[in-house]
Amino acid sequence: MKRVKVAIKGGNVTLDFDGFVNKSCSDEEDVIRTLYGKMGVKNDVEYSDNKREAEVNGTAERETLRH
Amino acid sequence: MSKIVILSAQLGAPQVMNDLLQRIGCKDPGLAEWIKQLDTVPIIKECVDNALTRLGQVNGIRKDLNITDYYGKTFGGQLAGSLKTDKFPNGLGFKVNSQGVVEFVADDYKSEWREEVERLRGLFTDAFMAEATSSILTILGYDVSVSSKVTGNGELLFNLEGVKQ
Repeated sequence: MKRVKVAIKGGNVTLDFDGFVNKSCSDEEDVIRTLYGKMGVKNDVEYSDNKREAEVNGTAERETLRH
Repeated sequence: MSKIVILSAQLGAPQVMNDLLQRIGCKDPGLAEWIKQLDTVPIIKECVDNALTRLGQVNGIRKDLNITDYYGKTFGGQLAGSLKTDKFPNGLGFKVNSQGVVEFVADDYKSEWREEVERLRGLFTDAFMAEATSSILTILGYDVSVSSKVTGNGELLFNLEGVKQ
């Protein structure tokens, strides 16, 4: 099951992807951001944090990208 | 892999984000072409209407159809709707032009009116983004639920969840 949780406040949109295999969540992010643009929502990535599946166990380090 | 992404967002003219569209096109040319050709103006109009209805249910905000200027004269142009408060009874109007750009209309002669216009614009922007997100996730095949609550400092927090098997 794929799940996207979205929180919106003060002009910030937080997208939390879960249940995606490999890089399919990045592909889904691209589609969502492109559709935001088509809907007149200008969007820039402020923060992006890849969560490895092993992180569920609390054993994996996060790979954090800041833009 | 799962992921958290935080976007800074604001309203503007509908646009094709070419870098993202190219990435999509490399994996799924049909999807990229469909997105490129998608006419979102009717969806934007529906999202504006839904956002105004949602904000009209917030305590202290009323949804209306028109606005008036300082002298009480009703705005003659076409509006998608307006929002009014006790601090700003003349109202902030909302238009969607033929390109799908959301435009704001108000007589903000008084400084206290300008403050209320900015507050309502901010609330509307978040509400519109919630409606846009709901539409996008629905288009992509998710079952979507939306909830909202007013925070202690009067901001609105929207939470959406999309689930797809």
